[in-house]
Amino acid sequence: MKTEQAMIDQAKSLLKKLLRDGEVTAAFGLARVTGDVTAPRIFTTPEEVDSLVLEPKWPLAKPAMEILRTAPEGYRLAVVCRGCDERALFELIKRNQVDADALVTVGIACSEEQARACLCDRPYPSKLDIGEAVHGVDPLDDPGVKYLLEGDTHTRMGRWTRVLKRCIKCYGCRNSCPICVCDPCKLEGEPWVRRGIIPTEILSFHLIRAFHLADTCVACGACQEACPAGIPLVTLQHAMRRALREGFGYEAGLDVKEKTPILFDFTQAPEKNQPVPDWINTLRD
Amino acid sequence: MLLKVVDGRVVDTLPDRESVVGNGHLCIKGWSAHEFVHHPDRLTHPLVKKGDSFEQISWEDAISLAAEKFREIAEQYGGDAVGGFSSAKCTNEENYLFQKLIRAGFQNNNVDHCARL
Amino acid sequence: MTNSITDLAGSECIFIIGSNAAESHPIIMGEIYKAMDAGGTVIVVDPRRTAVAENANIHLAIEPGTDIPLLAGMMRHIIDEGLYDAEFIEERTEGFDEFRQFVEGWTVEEASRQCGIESSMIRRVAEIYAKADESAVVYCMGITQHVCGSDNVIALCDLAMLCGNVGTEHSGVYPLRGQNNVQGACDMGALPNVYPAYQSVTDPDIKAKFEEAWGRPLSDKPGLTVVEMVRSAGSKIRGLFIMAENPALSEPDVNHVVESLSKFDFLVVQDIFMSETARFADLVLPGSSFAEKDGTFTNTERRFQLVRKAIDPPGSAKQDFSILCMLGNALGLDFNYESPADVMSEINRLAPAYGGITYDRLERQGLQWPCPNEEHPGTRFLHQGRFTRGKGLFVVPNHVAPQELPDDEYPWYLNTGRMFAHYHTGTLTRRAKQLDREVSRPYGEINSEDATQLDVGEGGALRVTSRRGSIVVDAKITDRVKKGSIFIPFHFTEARANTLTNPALDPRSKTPEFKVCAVRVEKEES
Repeated sequence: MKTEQAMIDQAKSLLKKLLRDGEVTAAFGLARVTGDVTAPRIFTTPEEVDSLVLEPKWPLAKPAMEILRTAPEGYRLAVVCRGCDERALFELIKRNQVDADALVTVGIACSEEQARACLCDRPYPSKLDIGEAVHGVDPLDDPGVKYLLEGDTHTRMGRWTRVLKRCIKCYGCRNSCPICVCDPCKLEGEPWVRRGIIPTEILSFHLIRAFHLADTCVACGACQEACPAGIPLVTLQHAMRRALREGFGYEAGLDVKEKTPILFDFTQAPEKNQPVPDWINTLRD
Repeated sequence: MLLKVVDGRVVDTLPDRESVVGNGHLCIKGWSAHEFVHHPDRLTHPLVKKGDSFEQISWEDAISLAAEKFREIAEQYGGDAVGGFSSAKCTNEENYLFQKLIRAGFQNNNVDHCARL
Repeated sequence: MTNSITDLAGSECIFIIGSNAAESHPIIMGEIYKAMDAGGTVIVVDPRRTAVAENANIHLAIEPGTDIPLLAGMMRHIIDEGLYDAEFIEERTEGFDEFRQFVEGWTVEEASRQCGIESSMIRRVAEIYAKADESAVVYCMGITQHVCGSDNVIALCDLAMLCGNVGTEHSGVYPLRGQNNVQGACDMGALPNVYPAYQSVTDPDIKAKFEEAWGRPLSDKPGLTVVEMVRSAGSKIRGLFIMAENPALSEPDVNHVVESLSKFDFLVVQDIFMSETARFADLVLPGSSFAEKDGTFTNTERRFQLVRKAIDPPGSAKQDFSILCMLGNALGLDFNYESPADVMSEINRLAPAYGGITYDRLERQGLQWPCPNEEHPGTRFLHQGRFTRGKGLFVVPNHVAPQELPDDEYPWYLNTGRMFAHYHTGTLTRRAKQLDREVSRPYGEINSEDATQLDVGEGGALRVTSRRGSIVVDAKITDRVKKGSIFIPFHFTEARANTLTNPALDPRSKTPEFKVCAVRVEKEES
């Protein structure tokens, strides 16, 4: 396992080389900006790269997309990516939000400790440049996740209601989500969600969000980390991701060319009497 | 709380993931904190009231007008006739200077702010 | 607050009274949820079933303005059952005997009769609070904005001392401060009776110290409060300088305030927008927003934190710091400060509690006062081992009923406060797109039974009238408020809730009674 400093040094020299060789117009990563404050930063010269840091985990896919959206023709951006950042960027490419040709990923591996903290089953990007890939964990083995996904409908509804009614409608989950890019956002008002009240309606707010992301969430955990009320939002997505994996053999963010099966299967009438995956029965009373 | 700045304009607010206080969290007002910063209603020049409306005035004239009027009031009615409301939105240093300005400038303690409201 | 925000997560019992932290202090609420998830019990006392009440283990919907009866009943039960911390009282406090007499003058049944909560429930919450290893009290303006607001606070402090819930990591008393720097404004002496760090203006040694430092004679007479200065417009007070405050919306009985604002001989308002107050000014000075300045703010856990300038102020607007320096110099004071850091070194010298709080040390996580010198790490929780004053003093609280209660002519309770999408007088938040989209119109929350009786539907117009004025708001129908009560947030200039409020003050703190007054509610025919 490389030390953090060795990883930073390697990342710096990689980014500097990309900038020096003119491979990219700019690089994007975390930096010590003033004194002790860490924040995302655009590096336009190799010298600026000296302020690069890699920790803490800081989701960079969405800000990277925002930079690329307004970038001029021919702009290329190198982005320091963890596994979840890379997968989110792949999803944004699939949805025509990011131009694949304008993006160069510089992949870094997460530590085992980070994988455990995020309940991440794939704590590394497919293009790994820095660090060594470690084993992930299966989120569905986590007791907290199990608690919310197991039991009969009534039990689960009670447990979910208890946490979801803590929502203060800060929109932090939506704002932090690398994939939430709809404009206008359905969560912002009538007829879908009643404005001006908290807790917000659970079914319309939280389930619209969950289903909007069903086939694209990469389980980066940014929504949950941003939630001041501590709502375990990714847990909803763990169930969705399992359904896609077991029902369609599909996982968001793994392959930039593979389109979502849900979107494509809907273009034709579904076959009659399709088998229902076994685990669905566990969700019934 | 971090501000995203592009070409001299604040375009977004982000939670500070390393803050011991916020711990990467913001409320809806925090997430929206940048939205009023560049609002077209922002005051950009000192204004003096002429009749029922306001007119632009230079900083130099504005400051001497304020000093002159407050001094006149203090001379005519005594220092106690001047007071000030400091602000729970301003910094510590600004609040310190404000109370010092009233206390040392007019020899009274007529300084307060909206803590109770 | 005595302790730190994150300490709440470890409390076994959190007693929240007069605070809707879920809407007004959501980040702090997150810590309270952590405590609940770890098995802690959260008790909420509020006449309204607020978002925090809805998420609590127990909610006591007391009658408005009956906090002291409830607390007295709880303390009576704690004393009767011997659940108090005798050792703590003996070693660390004084005045208990007299206090005990006061408590024994109450019965749980009498408390129940006054506050409208069943005796068995008063006993139950008293036991939960007293038996928990470490219990915290959280309060906000539902406690302070009453004519007996300071007595309400005293009663809460008595409760904490009675059970030895002071001076340890997860106990304590948590007043939640509202605005970004209301703690700092108080700490810096923007109050009529104290210099920075709560040094009394009447203390001759303190006065001499500041006279020497500032090179000017000073007054040892406490000054006037906001409300008193407004009331003295054109008489005792002739010239007023308002920096970024908006009394035309925030004070009680604003019709009267607005009248007063035009009575000053000379009014200067420094702000970033033409606020309702600035319109009355003779001179308006354009200041800067938080994004345009360097300095420090102090949060509710006494933590100084740096704010850094991200952009320049618009047009010729200036940093408030620079404006104050210009004005100070023009008044013949020596205000030649180079930077806010320069001001902080003067604060370090004159305010012992902040002596060690220098910019170099604030970089990352800030520092919590007291922090007397540069070696001191700051203070996470107060009164550890010893109270600041030596022994903790039990004080007998004096219950006073709200000054104006519903009667035949004005039969409803009005409660005013805040809601999650807006901040104070709305000068800033009503100009933020996302917040305005969330709530863009003034409203009043009424009970569904009342709505039926008034024949008003959701969003229908309600005319609300008190002895002081009348406004029209949209009806928001909810079972959060009891029958016969209306809740109106005060953020909206087009229907100023403070047109209605009663300017009765707590005599000690001068806090207005915003939480209770009497109104009449009618359907407004269009």
